[in-house]
Amino acid sequence: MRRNVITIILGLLFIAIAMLFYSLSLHMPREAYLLPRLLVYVIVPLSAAMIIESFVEMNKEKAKAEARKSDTLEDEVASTGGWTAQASLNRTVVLKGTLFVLLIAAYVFFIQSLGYFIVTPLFIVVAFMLLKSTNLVVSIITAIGFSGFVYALFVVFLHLPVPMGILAGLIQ
Amino acid sequence: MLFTPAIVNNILGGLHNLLHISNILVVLLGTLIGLFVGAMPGLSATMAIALLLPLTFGLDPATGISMLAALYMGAMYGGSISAILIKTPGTPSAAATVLDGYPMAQKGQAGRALGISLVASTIGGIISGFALLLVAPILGNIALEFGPVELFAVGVFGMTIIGSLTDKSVIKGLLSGVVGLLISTVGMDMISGTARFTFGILNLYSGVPFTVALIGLFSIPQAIRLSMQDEASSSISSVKDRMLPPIKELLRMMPTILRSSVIGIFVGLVPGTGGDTACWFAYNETKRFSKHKELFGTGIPEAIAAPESANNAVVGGALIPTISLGIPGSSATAVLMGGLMVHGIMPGPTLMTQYANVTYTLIWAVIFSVIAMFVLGLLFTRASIFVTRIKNKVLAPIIVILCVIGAFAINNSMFDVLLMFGFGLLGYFMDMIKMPTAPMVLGLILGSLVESSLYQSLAIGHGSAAIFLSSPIAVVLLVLSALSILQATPLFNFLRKKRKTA
Repeated sequence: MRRNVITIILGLLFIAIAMLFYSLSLHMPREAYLLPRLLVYVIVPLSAAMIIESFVEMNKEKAKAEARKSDTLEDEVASTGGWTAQASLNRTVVLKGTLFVLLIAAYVFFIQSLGYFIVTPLFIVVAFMLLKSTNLVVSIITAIGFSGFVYALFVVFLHLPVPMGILAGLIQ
Repeated sequence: MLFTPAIVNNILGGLHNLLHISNILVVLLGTLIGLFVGAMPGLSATMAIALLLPLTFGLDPATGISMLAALYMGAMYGGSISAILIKTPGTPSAAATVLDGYPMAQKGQAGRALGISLVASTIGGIISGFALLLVAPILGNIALEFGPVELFAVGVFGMTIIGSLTDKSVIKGLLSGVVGLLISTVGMDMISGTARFTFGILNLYSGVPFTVALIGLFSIPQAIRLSMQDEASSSISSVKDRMLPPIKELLRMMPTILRSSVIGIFVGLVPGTGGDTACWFAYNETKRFSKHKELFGTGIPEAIAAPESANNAVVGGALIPTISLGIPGSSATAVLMGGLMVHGIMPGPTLMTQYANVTYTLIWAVIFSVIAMFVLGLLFTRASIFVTRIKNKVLAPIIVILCVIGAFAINNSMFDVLLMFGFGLLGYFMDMIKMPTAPMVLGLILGSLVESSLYQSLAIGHGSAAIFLSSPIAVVLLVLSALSILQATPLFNFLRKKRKTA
């Protein structure tokens, strides 16, 4: 059910983007709008087809759920009990995933201002604690070791930049 | 003459380049990384190549791309290690290896299973490496004759075939590719000089960097998934028996290995399919030819050798269209193509001439990586047991860090990091609804080729689309593209059902 809802939202999003691009292309010369407009003509029907496909699937799922309802009482109780436990487990997993995504967003947000050397070890420790990957001491050791390894690999060995933030003046 | 003196010179030049100590070292390093990455369940070869792509900026193009190709080859074997030891394929390409690899390991013959996998992978890899060396120059020579009309048809063919051959919904596969193409039009239009869909953001004037997009699309969804996964429970803790199979056993498996290698090469050649398709195809064919079908699933050598030789043979096979036509045969080679483009090398017919130096070094690197894989496999397979025990929940944050730092390193830009994260979230939702991300990456990569060849073709045809009917090659490719789309429509499903009932 949730998957179908996301499919419909994504389908609508693609249609909206296609329409936006089409309207922006109205003020462009032919050379610039030719391919984007051709693609819009393909994206809109494909997105619509994807949405229709989801509605069909949703109806099928509904019909299956209806059929399940007509099962015996015992089966219903058992399946409801199982379903409740499963739903609760799913909620925990989804919550953990959502928190991890928010943590990534925070990492991306703060890395420019605070810099790689402050935010990266912090991110590793907090992520390990959140995901219950390992204990605090191992988390701190891994955080320091891995941050140092990545810095050595990118900056020292390959001369590629990392965001230094407020430490830019200190480490050069 | 199929092999002109120029081609022979280029082949020898590539070998000479590869024998440079720095290239040999990076191939060894790439293979070793691939072996370990492959052994870690949850890390695919494509994702590893995407993550390591930024590292190649600091290297010579030939060196960098050789490292990525070696990683691809190493990961194909590495995937079998966790498949055999912990019943979880390290990469999707090793999925079929689980069926007989794990039962053999349970019988106390983990070393034997790993040895069969290593030898089969080596033979498959060598055969496909030489197929690549022989076929790519010939196909590349033919492709040199292609004009904009044919190149446009090749681009369209690549897009439709990768979208329609997806094992998920064809509508979603095609839509993913077309949205990728649309995103590739963001930025300054090269022909008219018009800024398109930039919304006044200066960073978008040079377009959406596909490297950033592919890092996000392939890696962030995987990191999020790993953060939500439970750990595998059953595992074999040590490998005590010998690895290399006796000659007698090897000779008995040879027909299976050879047949599966050929399957792997052909599956690799078809854009949109990869090691995951090849391993099941080879496994099923071996079962079909076997006189002891009932033994499949109990731990028999042929059933391990078949998928393993096929998935390594895919590497060379998938590189053939990538190098000669600029159409990747698998999602991993699509990322490899991205690796070439960040160095300013446009994949396609000119690869075999203008950038022969890089291309032939890459081909030799593929062959050399197989030898490296065999030696390193013998030395490090036992050590990689520890890698299979690394928790997914440890890997998830590590992947995120490599994504962020890698995306930043490309243009020294935080905007790219934000873009990468945005593509990562989009990729996660796409994965959730079973919409493949590989066609979108291909759309982003092929966008400029498709657009420039479309414009040039129309200019040649004085604005008439009939120009695309003037070339037999273009007609064939466009008809095949149309058929690949049509075969996914309800009409074809209806016809297929009708034929079955008749």
